[in-house]
Amino acid sequence: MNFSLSTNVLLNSLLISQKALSNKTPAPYLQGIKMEVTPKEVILITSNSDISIKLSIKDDSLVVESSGEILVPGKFFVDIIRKLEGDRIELSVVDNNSLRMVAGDSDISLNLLNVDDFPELDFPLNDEPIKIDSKIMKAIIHQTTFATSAIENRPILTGVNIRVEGEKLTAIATDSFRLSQKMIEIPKNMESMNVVIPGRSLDELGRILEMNLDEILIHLNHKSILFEYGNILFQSRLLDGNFPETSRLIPTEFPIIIKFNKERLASSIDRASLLSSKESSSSIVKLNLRNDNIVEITSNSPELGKVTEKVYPLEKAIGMPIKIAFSSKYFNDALKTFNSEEVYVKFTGEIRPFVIEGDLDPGVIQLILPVRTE
Amino acid sequence: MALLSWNQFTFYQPSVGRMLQNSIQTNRLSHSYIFEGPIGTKRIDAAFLLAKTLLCTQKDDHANPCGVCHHCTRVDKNVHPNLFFVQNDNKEIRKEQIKELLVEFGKASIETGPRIYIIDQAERFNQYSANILLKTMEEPGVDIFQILITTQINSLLKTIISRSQILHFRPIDKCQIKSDLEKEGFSPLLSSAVSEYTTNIDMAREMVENPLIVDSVQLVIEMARSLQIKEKSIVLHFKEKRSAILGDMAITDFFLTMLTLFLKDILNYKVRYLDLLVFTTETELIGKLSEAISQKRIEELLDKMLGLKSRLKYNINVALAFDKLLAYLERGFDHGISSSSSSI
Repeated sequence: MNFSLSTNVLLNSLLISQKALSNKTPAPYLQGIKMEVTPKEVILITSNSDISIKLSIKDDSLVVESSGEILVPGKFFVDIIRKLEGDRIELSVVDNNSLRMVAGDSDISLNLLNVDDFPELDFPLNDEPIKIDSKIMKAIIHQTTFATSAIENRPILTGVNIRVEGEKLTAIATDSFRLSQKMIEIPKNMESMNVVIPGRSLDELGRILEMNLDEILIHLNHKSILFEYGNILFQSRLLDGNFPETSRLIPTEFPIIIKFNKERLASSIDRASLLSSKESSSSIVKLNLRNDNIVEITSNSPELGKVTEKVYPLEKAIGMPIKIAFSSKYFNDALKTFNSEEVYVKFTGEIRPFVIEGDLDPGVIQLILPVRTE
Repeated sequence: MALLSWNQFTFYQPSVGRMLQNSIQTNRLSHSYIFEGPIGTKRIDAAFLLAKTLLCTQKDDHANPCGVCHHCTRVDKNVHPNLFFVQNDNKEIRKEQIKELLVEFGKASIETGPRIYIIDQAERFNQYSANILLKTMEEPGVDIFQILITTQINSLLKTIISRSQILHFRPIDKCQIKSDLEKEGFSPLLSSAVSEYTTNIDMAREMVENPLIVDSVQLVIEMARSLQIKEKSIVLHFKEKRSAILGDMAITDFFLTMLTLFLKDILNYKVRYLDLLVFTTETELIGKLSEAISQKRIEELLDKMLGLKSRLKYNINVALAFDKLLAYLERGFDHGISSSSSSI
């Protein structure tokens, strides 16, 4: 194997590839980057068993003299390329067991891993992928993954449920105390699908989507989900099991609706959560809609003190007075996902789940379960 | 050394081998197996062979893996992403280890095909990890196979045992161990001596490579020769070599066993059970010695040797005990020879 190309092109590709490199897996073969060199392109494949990235480099600067397949130790390779000077780098395999890199005044040899140890990963492409604006994809990730469960007692809840039905694609995440849902329209009728993607995989995908390309193609099958983004194929394993049926959890009728300014509501709740007897992560605040149309956010902990915040709804609230308690963290997490400056908080009762929605965020529903106090 | 085929495995474990091979051929594998039996009965090798068979895409008609495809070669190196081998060097199996497996099996497999996890020393489960494992067994995933390897099946949870198919591995036949060692190029004498000593095939292989073991066998023969020639007392002969042998308890035990076996050979020769001889290369020597001692004497001596063997584990003065034993031994032959000469 022998080829040369621009150092920058290689580095930029490697920076994406390394997102799927694992450093803690017990399997040393997954700490490598597999390079497949063909006369026309160089393909980099990495996998940490949860996500796999296949990236093809087809650059004008690429000159291939002979093809081949190798597995290079990922971390060392990336670090070396990152620090190399010189615009062009020449890579060649010496004695079948080491990779020689010549760039500028440097001449570096790196021992290779056994390429046969690398798993056989296939990246199956569908004939008719789902086409989505990459900004929308990013929004889906931003608005759902935070609500996945962090504890792995129920592994299925660590993932985001993606459902395709007719012309709708719905992404749902829940940790059984809150639920976050985003629904978008997709251009064509697709085959119905119901899969669960690990939340962490989506977070990684979000980081790759910085490239500012317009579209992303989604290839879904029953075992894996594959995102095609320019020259990058990003594949994630799916979680096995059935995601809980959530459609019935979301109330349809809301007798009480209050409209808030998002920023002011968020900072009030933030302040109220300061004096909470429990750790900040699970601090409980109370919301009280008074008869005079003023909302009070309170928290009280006998040993520390108490906070009372007044928030004025933007319009006269619809419905009866209500007192409800909930986790301030869950509430502010949910608020952060909205682009709208004005949000509606909709209640059905004091011990029933409530919902946050915004005008500028069509298809987004954030649902939170209240906490029972006294 | 990895097993190549089910036929090869059947030499070691006839019933288990046939059973597994049949289950694969009729596609009736259980999702959970317990391989139970003493150490060195090819339990781990069998588990890997089963894994290889499940993963190999080019099996022959008798369910044997091809051994050369990408799947097979990676199973041999234990780098296959669908194979999980949990090994614990005499430590408890922690619940985190089982949880990791759980998380892994909560996702679709990396490569298409079945997934197999092998847990060695399954008797080292603690209460928590065993219960987590049990939870996965109650709802086994599709195409996931579990093999627990243990020496003490009774220390596993009853509920785990009842959900698994149990395969008993028997101690490997000594003829099989002997022929294995001979095939690897070790001398017939050494192979047969070691195969008499242990049924643990892995230990046997380690032993034949240990120079002290080789020396012990050699010393037994040398001492037998000097018993016959009577140039020098065997007590003195032993004294020159004993520091190496008595320095290590395992070697001491082996040496004593060899001594016993040699005496047993003499007895067997006397009663003409020639095919039972262990020191087959020394038949002539054994023959001569057997004429010099009476059957009753041999029995008495064997009794003393077995007595010493059981006392070895106590805190006795081993050197002294051996001297006493060897003196007895020597006197036994003196007696035999003198009595035979007096009869002339």
